[in-house]
Parts: sequence; C-alpha cells; structure tokens
Amino acid sequence: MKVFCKRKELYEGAQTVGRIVSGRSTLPILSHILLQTVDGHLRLVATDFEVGMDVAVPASIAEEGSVTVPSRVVTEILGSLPDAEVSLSVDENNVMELTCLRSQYVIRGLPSQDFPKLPEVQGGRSVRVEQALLKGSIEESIFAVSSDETRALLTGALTTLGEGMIKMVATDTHRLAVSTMPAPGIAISGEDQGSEGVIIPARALRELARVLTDEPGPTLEIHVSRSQVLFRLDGFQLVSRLIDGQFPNFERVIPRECQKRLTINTQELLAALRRACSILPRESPNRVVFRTETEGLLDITTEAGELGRAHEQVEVTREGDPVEIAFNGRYVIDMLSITEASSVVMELTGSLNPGIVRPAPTGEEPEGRSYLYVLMPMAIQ
Amino acid sequence: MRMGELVGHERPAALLQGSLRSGRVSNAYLFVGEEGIGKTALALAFARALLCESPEAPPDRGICEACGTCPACHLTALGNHPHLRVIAPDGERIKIEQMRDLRHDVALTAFGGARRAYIILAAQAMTEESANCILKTLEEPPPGVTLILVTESLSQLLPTIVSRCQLLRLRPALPAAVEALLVERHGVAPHHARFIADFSGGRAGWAVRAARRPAILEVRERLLHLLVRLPDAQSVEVFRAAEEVRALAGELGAEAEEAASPDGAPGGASSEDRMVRAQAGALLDIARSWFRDLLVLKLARTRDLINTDRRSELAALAPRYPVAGLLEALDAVVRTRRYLSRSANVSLALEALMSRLSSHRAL
Repeated sequence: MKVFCKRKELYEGAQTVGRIVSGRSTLPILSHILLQTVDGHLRLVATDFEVGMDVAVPASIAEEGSVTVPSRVVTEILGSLPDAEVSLSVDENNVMELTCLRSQYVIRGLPSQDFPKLPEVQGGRSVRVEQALLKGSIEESIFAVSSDETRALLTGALTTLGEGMIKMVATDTHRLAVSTMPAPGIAISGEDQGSEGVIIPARALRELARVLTDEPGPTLEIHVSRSQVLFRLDGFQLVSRLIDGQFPNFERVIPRECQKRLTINTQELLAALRRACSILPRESPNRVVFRTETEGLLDITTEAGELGRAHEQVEVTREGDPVEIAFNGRYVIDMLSITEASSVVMELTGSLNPGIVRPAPTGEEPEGRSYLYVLMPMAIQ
Repeated sequence: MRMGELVGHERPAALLQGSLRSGRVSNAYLFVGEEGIGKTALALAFARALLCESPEAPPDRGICEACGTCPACHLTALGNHPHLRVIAPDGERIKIEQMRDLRHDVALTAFGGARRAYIILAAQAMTEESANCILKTLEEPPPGVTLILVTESLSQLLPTIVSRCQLLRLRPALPAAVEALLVERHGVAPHHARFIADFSGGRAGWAVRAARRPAILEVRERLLHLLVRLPDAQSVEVFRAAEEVRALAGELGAEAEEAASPDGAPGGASSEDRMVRAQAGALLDIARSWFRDLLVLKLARTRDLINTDRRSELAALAPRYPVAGLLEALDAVVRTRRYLSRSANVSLALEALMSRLSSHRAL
C-alpha cells in the first residue's frame, strides 16, 4: 500500500475513529485501527465489538492495500507533525513507513485480514433524516441515561423512528427525558423493524452526536435491524449493537394533569440554581427546595449543613396554588443547560408527586415537536 | 482443538457434547483442575462448538463438535469472534472494570448467531467485588449466553459463584495416553516423551508445553542438582540454593513471556516477583516429584518412579533420609506452593522451604 494524505485530514480521521478504540482490550488487534484503500479514499476503521466506526479520508493512492496499526501511537504522531503531506507506505510484512517532510516513522502493524469485521446490518428499516434533528434529539435526552450497569436497559436511549417523527427517551429512574422531533423529510423503507423503538447504547449516540452538524447538511441514513443500528453519512459510518430487552413503560410515570404551573426565565433560573448548588458538597444529593412564598417570586434554597445555606429568588408567573417541592438541583441544571427555550414551565401537583419541566410554548413550534422532562421529587426535610 | 481430541477428558467432553446435542446448555460452567490439565483447551473447544454455525453431529458417534470450516469457526480460531470473549487476569487479579465490561457486553444484542460464550480464565483471581459483580449475570444471563469459568482452586472462589455454575472436574489422563499424544501428534522423541508424560502427572497441556519449552527440562536438571546436594549443604549454601531457585523460576518466566509475545513486544509491566510466583509452581512440582520418588523407593521399592532418568541417584540418596523427614519435606513443598499462590513473600517462602528441606538431612 502507498498513499498520500493531508496531515490534518488524516489526523482528524484517526482521532475520530480512535475514540472507539478501547484502552484495555484483551485482543491486541482491537487497539489498532485498520487503514484500507477504497475508491480513491483511505478508509480508517476501529471497533471494540460494541461500536464500530469508519471514516474515509481523501487520499491519492499510488498502490492499493491495507494494514492495521496501533491507534494511539499513530494518532499521537499525526497530531504533532507539521501541516504537510503525509505519505504512508506498507510493505508485505505489515510494516508501515510514515513520512512527512523531514520526519520518518516506521510502525509495525498487524495483517489486515486479522482485523475483526463487524457483521453487515441486515434487514430492518431504513430511514433518512436531517442531521440537526437527530443531533437535537440526542442532546435533549442523552444526559438522563443511567450510568448504572446493573440496569443495562437504562444505559441506552429508546429510539423510535416513526412516520414523520423521531422520538428519544432516556431515564435513570430518578428522571426521564422524552424528546419528539417532527421529521417531515423522513423516508422510511424496509420492514417495520424499529417502529416500536430500539435501545441504542449511550456511547454510540454520544460518538454520533460529535460527528453530526447543527447546520442544514446532507441527510443522515439510518438502518435499524433487530440487533444493530447503522448510521451513515458521506465518508462516515457508525455501527452499534443494541441493548437487548424491553424498555420500561415510561408513559406511566408522566403525570397526566397538573394543578400548579410556574413559568420562569431559563437563564435566570439556571444561574440561580448554579449558584445555590455551588455550596453543596460534591457527594450530596443536591437537594434544592422550590417555594413560592412571595407573589411573583420563586424562592430557591439549599442547605449545606455546617457550611451554611443559600437563598435565591427569581421572578415567576404562577398559575394555581403556592408551591413547595424539592428536586435534585443538578438534574434541573442538566435540562436547563441544553434547552434553547427562553423560558421554561414547571408543572407540579403535590410535593410528593413527580414534576414536569418543559420549554414554555411560544406558539411557533412546528407540529409534532415536544420535549418534556419528568423529575422525581425529593423529601423536603 | 476439538473437545473429543483432548486427552483424558473424554467424559467431560461427552457430557458437554450431550448438552449441545440436546440444546440444554447451562448458563454457567466451572471447570476445575490442575495447572496444564486442559481446562482452557476444553473451554475453548466447547465455546467453538457452541458458536459453530454447522456443528458436526454424526448420529452414530454422538459427537457434537465445531466444524472448523464455517465463518464462525474461522473467527473463533483466530480469536477474533465478537461473541467469544476470553477474560484473563489483568496483572494478578481480575478487576472489577473487566467484570463491568463483561456485564455490559452481555446486555447488548448479539450480532446474528444465537449463542455467545464468555470464558473467565483463572477465575480464582477475581476480587470479591469482581465476583459479586457477575453473580446476577451467572444466574440468569440473556438467552444464548454461556459463561465458562476456569480455575485451579475451587476453595479460592466465593461459594456464591460456585453454586451458580455447573461444576466439571477435570482429572489427569493416564501417562501412557499423554506419552502417545506427545509422540504421535507433537513428534516428540519416544524416550523424551516417556519421561515428560510420567513427569506431567497426566497433565496433557503441561506435557505439550514442556516438550516445546526446553527450558523446563534444563531448569529441572539444575534444580535436581541442587536437591541432590541439599542434604550436605551448610546454612549459607541453603540460602544460596533459595536464591538459585528464584533465579530458575525467573528464567522460566522470561521464556514463558517470550513465548506469549514472540515479537519481543513489551508484555506489560510484569514485575519479577509476579513472574517468579507464576513459575514457582512448576519448580515446586519438580521438587515434589523428587521427594515422592525418594519415599516410594524407601517404602515400596517399586519401579514406579517419576524421575526414571535419575534412578541411581535416587537409590543412593533414599537410605539417607528418614521416612518422617521425607513426609515432612513433601508437606513443606506442598505448603510453600500454596503460600506462593497467595501473596507470601517469594524470597522468604523459598528460603524457609530450603532450610526446612536441608534440616531433614540424612543420617
């Protein structure tokens, strides 16, 4: 194999796929990335048997071929080379010579035949959707995914690609995020797999979100089968296994009615919460009490034991009776920091009932767009 | 390697094949047996048969094995099958992160193919947290998942682990079978094969490794040389002998590492002590066979010696030891082996052993 690439493009490609490479794998070849010449490009592939990613880097190819090389070392070398053309040549013993201006490195690789191939995604349904829509949905839900491996089902987001909409649901049993995006341009073909939703591991979604653009761009192609999901853009592909099992019936925990409604400016509430939580110790349950004692103001208080306490007030528009409830402040901050809405609505019932936080309706939302965040209350003490 | 080809494990193999044929495969197996007896080989062969896309099952022979030709078999042979995971200690222990990874992987969907196998080598090296982490996975893994734990030491496993697994004890093969294996399948010269087979105590895997690793025989020569001189040793020499045993174990370890990564690639940060500890068992087995032969000569006068090539030296030495002394020496060797498998200080344990062995010197 002999190819020439731009240093920057090759580095970015290696960095992107390198994130998949696991630091502690028992199989040495999984710490490698596969380099392969395909249709005038250099394809970089990495996998850890859960997620597989490949990225095509523009290259001029003098001789076709393939090799696997240690990901970390090669990425580090590429990262510190000057911006110039990089040449890669590989001999029959899988030894790769990397040259850039006056730098020359010889890296021992492994045969590309030994690199595990992820099985092709077969059957299932296929969907085309705007990148920004899916990226938005991921950002609105992913932070609520559980990190507790004892409940594996909750370590991913339930993703439904339906007629004209995308829905993502994530929960860690203390909170629940449900994001629904209208996807008018969504094109669905193939079997009816995935219409009831599949659970995609949070890791795959995070890696995907890094690559997706917020700008209008080419559409993203998604294939969902019984066991895998594939995301494809021009020159980029990510395959992930799914989490096996039945996602809990989340509809049941969404309160159907509310008696009290608070409308609050997002940035003011976020700033007040950040300050109030800053005095709480790191391992604390982040209890924040919300009260409406004074007309038109929301009192936010935290208690940090011997250290002291905080009291903040923000303006609020209230409908219904006065409110007294406690939530985990960090959980509220998580949601406020990703929402684009200028104000949010808290829909509450009693101090022991779950509450909903959602963007305040502006009347300009597209049909079918909704986002809600359910929080379990904490004891007030 | 196929299950049916493993020397001495015909019965466990038949049992596993039976469960494959009937489709009643357990969630979790625990293979117990001495070092080098073939536990890992059997676990791999069983896992390959589990994952094989077209297992052979001729009705007359009742054998159910991996075909060796399908794509799945190709991948399992390379060690690159996404559904065959082998977990080995990271350093001295199997760490909690490794078990969390396993638990995470078990929860994911399978890539086509109904079955998945996870093999945990040296399961006794699991920390308590590691073991507790997989209790639920062992008890009720998703359909199609089989965990195979492999261990030399049942007593070092938590009872909660043992009770969740189907236990299979692997027993030593007949030395004659091991000898035949070495000669027929590994082309070892017959006289050499005879000795290795006797010395292996029926551990086929150990015998094959010893035949491929000349260092073990070279090291044995030097160790026996030490043991022969031990009855006449002064105390300084005793300590020197302990030092030398340590060095021998180190040599074996270095060779084993080289065998594991033939390119001379750095084999991780393996401390010298860990290497010695890992190899001390092999050395102490040589010492054990020596005192065992002395005892046999003294008591039974039979011809069933292990160290057949040293018959004359043994015969000359045997009268110099009292029976009680030999029994104590054997006991000391076995105990030191156990200490070293835990976390006793390597140098101290070997010095204590050598001084105990020399104090039973002869009349």
